[in-house]
Amino acid sequence: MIRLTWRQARPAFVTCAAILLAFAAFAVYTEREMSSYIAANGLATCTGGESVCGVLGEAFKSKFGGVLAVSQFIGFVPVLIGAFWGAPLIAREIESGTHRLVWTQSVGRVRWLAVKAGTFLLAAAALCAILTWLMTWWLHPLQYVQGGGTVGPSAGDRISPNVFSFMGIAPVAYTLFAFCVGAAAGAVVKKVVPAMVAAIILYVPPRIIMARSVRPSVITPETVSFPAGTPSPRTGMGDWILSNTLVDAAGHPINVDYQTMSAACQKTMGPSCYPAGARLVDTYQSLARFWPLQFIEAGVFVGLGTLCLAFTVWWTMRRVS
Amino acid sequence: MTDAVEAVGLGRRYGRKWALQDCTLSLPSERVIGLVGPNGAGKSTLLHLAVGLLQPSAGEVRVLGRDPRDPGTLARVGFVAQDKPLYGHFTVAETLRMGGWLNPAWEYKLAEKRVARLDVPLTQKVGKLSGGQRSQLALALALGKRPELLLVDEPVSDLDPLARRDFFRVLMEEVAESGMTVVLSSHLLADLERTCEHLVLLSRSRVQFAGDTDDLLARHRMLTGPRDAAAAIEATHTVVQADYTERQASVMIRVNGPLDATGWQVRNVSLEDLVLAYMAAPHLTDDTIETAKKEQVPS
Amino acid sequence: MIDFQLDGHSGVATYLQLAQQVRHSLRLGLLRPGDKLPTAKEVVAKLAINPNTVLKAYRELEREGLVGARPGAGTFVTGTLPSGDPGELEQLARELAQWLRAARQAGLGREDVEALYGAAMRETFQEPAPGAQRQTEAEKV
Repeated sequence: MIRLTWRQARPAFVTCAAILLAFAAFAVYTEREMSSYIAANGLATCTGGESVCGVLGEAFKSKFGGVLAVSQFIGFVPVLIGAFWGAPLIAREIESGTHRLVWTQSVGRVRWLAVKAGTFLLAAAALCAILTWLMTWWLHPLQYVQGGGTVGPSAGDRISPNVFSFMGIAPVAYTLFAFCVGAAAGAVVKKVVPAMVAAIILYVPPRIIMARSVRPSVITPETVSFPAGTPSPRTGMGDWILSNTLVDAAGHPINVDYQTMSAACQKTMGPSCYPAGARLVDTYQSLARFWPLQFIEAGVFVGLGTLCLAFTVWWTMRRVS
Repeated sequence: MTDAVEAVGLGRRYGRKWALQDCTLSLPSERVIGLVGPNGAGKSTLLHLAVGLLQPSAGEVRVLGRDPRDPGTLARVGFVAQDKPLYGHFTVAETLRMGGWLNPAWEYKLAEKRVARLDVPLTQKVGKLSGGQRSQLALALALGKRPELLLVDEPVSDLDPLARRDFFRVLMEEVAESGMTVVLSSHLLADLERTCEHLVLLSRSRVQFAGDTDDLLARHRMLTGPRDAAAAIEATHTVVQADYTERQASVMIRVNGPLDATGWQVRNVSLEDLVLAYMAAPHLTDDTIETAKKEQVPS
Repeated sequence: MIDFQLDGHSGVATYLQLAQQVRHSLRLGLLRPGDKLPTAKEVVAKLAINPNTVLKAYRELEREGLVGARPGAGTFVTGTLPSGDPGELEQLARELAQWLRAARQAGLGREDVEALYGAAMRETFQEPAPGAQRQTEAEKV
C-alpha cells in the first residue's frame, strides 16, 4: 500500500521538492545580499536616532521590498496543500472510479486511507516545517529593520500578528488542518474542483476567528500604565500591543479631543498636553508568551485537523459510494 | 458447500429510491453465473453490495459465507467494476505491480504472462490502451489475486465483438484451470449465453427467476399452431409470451408437466428469446409460477 | 480431432450441441475408438465457453458408453455409432434413398419431403414432453 501511495504521490512530491529547492537557492542568495547591505550601511549598529536610522531603514525596504513580498507566500502554503493534496485525496479516486479498484483489494479501505492520508500528512508537515525554518533563517536580517521605522538591534516582533503565523510551529499545524479539511471536503463532495473550493472556504474562518478573537485573550493579557506623553517603559521589547487607553488619575477612561489642542501639542504630544495625572494603559502580550501562544495555536489547529480526519475516516467507511 | 453469494431481503436505497429491493438469492459456488436484467434493475448495486463497496440499507448479504466487509473476505474475492477503473498515468507494468502492493498473495509472473498475450508493451501508459486491452488488464489484475470468487460488472458492453470473445476466452480458461466461481452481469444476454451455466434475471430491483441454463432451456418451448387449441395448452402450462393472429397462435410456454402437443409445431427456445420474453413479462416470477403449478396439480 | 462449432440461436443447450457433434462424427466415421477428445481447456480456448459445459457434455457421452476418461490422459472415444447391426443399417439406408427418389419423381420438393419426414418422425417416436425425459433430449432435436 505504501508503494502505491508513493507512486501516486511521486509527481506531487517531486514538484514540491523542486519548488522548495528553488526557493532555498533564492533565500540563500538574497540573505547574503541583505546581510552584506546591512553590514555595509551600518544598519545593525545604527545609533543615529529615528531621523538617520529611519532613512536607512526606508532605503533598505525600497531596495529589498520585492524580496520581502515573496515572504508573504508562505501564508498560502497551508491553503495550497489543503486544496491540491487534501481535497483530491479521496475525491479524485471517487471521481475517476478508481476507489472501486483499490477498495476491493486485500488491503481494505481502512488501511488504504490510513496509509494514504498518513503519507501525505507527513509530507505536508515536513514540507511546511522546512519552509518555516528556512523563512526564519532567511528573514533574520530584518530584525534590524523594524516595522515602525526603528533600526538597530531589537527583540524583533515575532509575536505580532503579521509575523506570528509564519513562525514557530503554527504553520505546520495550519497545514495539517488545511489538509484534513480538504480531505473531509473531498470525501463529502466527491468531486475534485468543488472540493478544492470547499477546502479553501472552510480553512479561512477558523484562522480568522483564532487570530481575532482567541489568540489575543487566550492568555490573560498584561497591562502596563505610564504617564501619558512619556515613552512606554516597554518600548522595544517586542510586545504585541492589543490596545491602549487613556485614563485619568482615578483610573477612569477619558477622552482627549486632539482637535482642540494647541499646534505645538498636536506635534509633540508631550506630557503637558494631557490633563494632569493622565496615564496611558497598554494591554499587551509580551514576547515571552510567543511559545505558549504558539503551542496553543498549534494545539487548536491540530485538534481541529484531527476532528476533520476522524470525520473523513467515518464518512469514507460509512457513507461513501 | 457454502454459497458464493447469499442475500436475504437485501436492499439498498439512495435517498427515497430503492436501487435494489427485497433481494433474496443464493448463487452456487464453482459455477459461472450470469446476472442479467435491464439497465437500472440493480445489477451493479447487487455486485457493489457483494464486494463491500456499498452497505445494505436493508437485509444482509454474505460472500463465501462471510461478511463482505470483513478484511479477509476481500482477499478472496476479485472484482472488475463496470468501466474498468485503472490509473491512467500508470504503465501496464506498474499496474500489475500494484496488484502485488495491494494483495499479499499476488502472482506477478502469471499476470504478466496474461497481459503479454495482448501484444501491449509493459511500458505503455494505461490511459492509452484500447478498450479491449484495458478490460484484459483489469481482468488480469483481478485474476492475479487468485480469487475464489470473481465478480465482473458489465464486462463487455463497451467492447467490439472480437474483444468480447477474447475477454471471455481468457476468463473461461482461468475457470477451467482454477474452478473459481464467476458472477457476470450484463444487460445483454447474448454476452453471457455461452459462458453462464446459471442465470439470475433481475428486474425492477427484484429477482425474477434464477436457475441453471440447461434446465431453463429444457423447460421452455415455443409452440405454433391453431389458435382454437391454444386454451388447452395454456391451461396446463405457464404462458411466458403469446402472439395471436386470426387462426394461429405462437406461445412460449414453461412446461409444467407432460406436453400433449398434437397438431402443434414445437421448437426449442434460445436463451436470449427466453430472457427477453421474461423481461417483457415482469409479473412472471419464480414464485408466481410455483404457485400456479401448485394450483393446477391437486387433480 | 473433432472441431466443435456452436449455433447460438438453436435453443439447444450448449452441452447437448457438443455431445451431438461427437455422436455425429462417430456416425460419419470421423471419430473412431481410441481417438482423443479435446480437453476442456482446448475447447474453451476456441469457443470461449464455460469449461463445465464441456465436461458436462463428456459426462453425458460417458453415460452413453461412447467415451471414457483416463485419469491424467484425457477423454477418449470408446464406443461406436450407430449401435445397430451394420447389414441391417445398410439395408435401411438403401430403402430410404429409394423412397426419396420416389418422392422426388412424384414432384415433391425438399420442403415437402421434410414436412412429411417430420410428421412421420413425430408420430413414430412420440415426441416426449421436455423436462419429463431430459436425458433423451438430444435425440429428438
